[in-house]
Amino acid sequence: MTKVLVIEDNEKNRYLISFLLKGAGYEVIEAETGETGIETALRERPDMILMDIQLPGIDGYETTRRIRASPGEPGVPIIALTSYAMTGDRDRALAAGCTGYVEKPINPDTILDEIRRYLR
Amino acid sequence: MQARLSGDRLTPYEVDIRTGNGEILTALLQAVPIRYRKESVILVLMTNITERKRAEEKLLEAHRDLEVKVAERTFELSEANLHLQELDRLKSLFIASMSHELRTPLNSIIGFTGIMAKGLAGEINAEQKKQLGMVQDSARHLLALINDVIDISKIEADKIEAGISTFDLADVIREVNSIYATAAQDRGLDLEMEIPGPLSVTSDERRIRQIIMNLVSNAIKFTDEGRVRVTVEQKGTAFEVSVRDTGIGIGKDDLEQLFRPFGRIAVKGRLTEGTGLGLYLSKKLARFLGGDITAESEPHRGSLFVFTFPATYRKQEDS
Repeated sequence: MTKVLVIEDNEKNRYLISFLLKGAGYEVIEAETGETGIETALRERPDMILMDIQLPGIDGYETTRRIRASPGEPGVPIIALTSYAMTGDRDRALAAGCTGYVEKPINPDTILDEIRRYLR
Repeated sequence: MQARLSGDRLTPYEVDIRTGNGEILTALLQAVPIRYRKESVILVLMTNITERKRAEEKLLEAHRDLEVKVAERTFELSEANLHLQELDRLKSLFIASMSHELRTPLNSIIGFTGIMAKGLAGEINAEQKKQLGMVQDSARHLLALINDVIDISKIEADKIEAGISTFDLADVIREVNSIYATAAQDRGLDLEMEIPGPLSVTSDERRIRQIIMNLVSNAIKFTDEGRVRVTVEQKGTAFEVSVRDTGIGIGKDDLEQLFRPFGRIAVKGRLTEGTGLGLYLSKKLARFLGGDITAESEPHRGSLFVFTFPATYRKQEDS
């Protein structure tokens, strides 16, 4: 079963993404902060990470950089969740080591196809 | 005095004289050679100019005071001006970050209504689906408004960044046309474009698409019959994208309102659409990219919007 880690501080948005992923047959694990996200990523070794950018404490960019810098990191696809109006977010996310990005608001019709592209 | 006599005239000069009672007076000393009873003599004049001198000094002092005061006021004003600029920047920054906070709950409203409307959380009936669709439309409208406000605040707070890449403008226009093809068709309009081959642009593709989308969607919205036509022309180092419609047009007075925030012109049955910030933002974005948007129109004949921008983006100097 494909395991996806969702790092998102907003409870409702986290539930939303998890609901869609579980419905499509993914195993979902969750983290509310960058710090716990890193821990979970290293422990659980998910097949994909969905990363919110605006997080309390260390933000999504820094969380991505730290995961990428961890020893033995296998190059897990990290997908940033960016907002439409934030033009700079996408470039910054890619520069931080994200594999791609998905725009918020999450579109239930397209999100699954969008993330499937990044799965190896 | 001998030394000061040059030619036949003494240069007048001032001397301070102490009087018997200790008072200091200023006198002006002048000497003029004259003929007196067939003799060459020198006429020496001594004028008491103490009062005049004092008045002059007072005037000079007042003048100096005035200069100091002007300098002080100028400094205070420029300080106040800086303060105002800073306040304005903070205001824009505040709006930008507040808008960001507004977006998070909206994202979940849009997401969950989408999930429910799709029946992913259980079956729903047609009326429920219709109403969820309305919730979603309203939420999307609100989100569009917030996104526009964020863009505007960012421009005003000098926080906007251009995402520069090299792309084909022809592709962008084709894409915009395909996005609006259905909307035009639904209103019975021809959406046409005229593109003279590939057009390489190095600028902010997203913003340029956003601006052209805004102009095309406006044109479709305000045209009841006929066509909307998008053309591109290269003018030196700039591109000119023109969006011409055969719509209801805009009166002269309203044309001035056009680029103001919420400057929507009251047109029956059309007022609820759009954010009211589209053209205001588009013009700001166009200027941010070193270009501009201009409008020409004639009521009942149609409108022409021209978006001009440099083929290669260069960061704008602070104006």
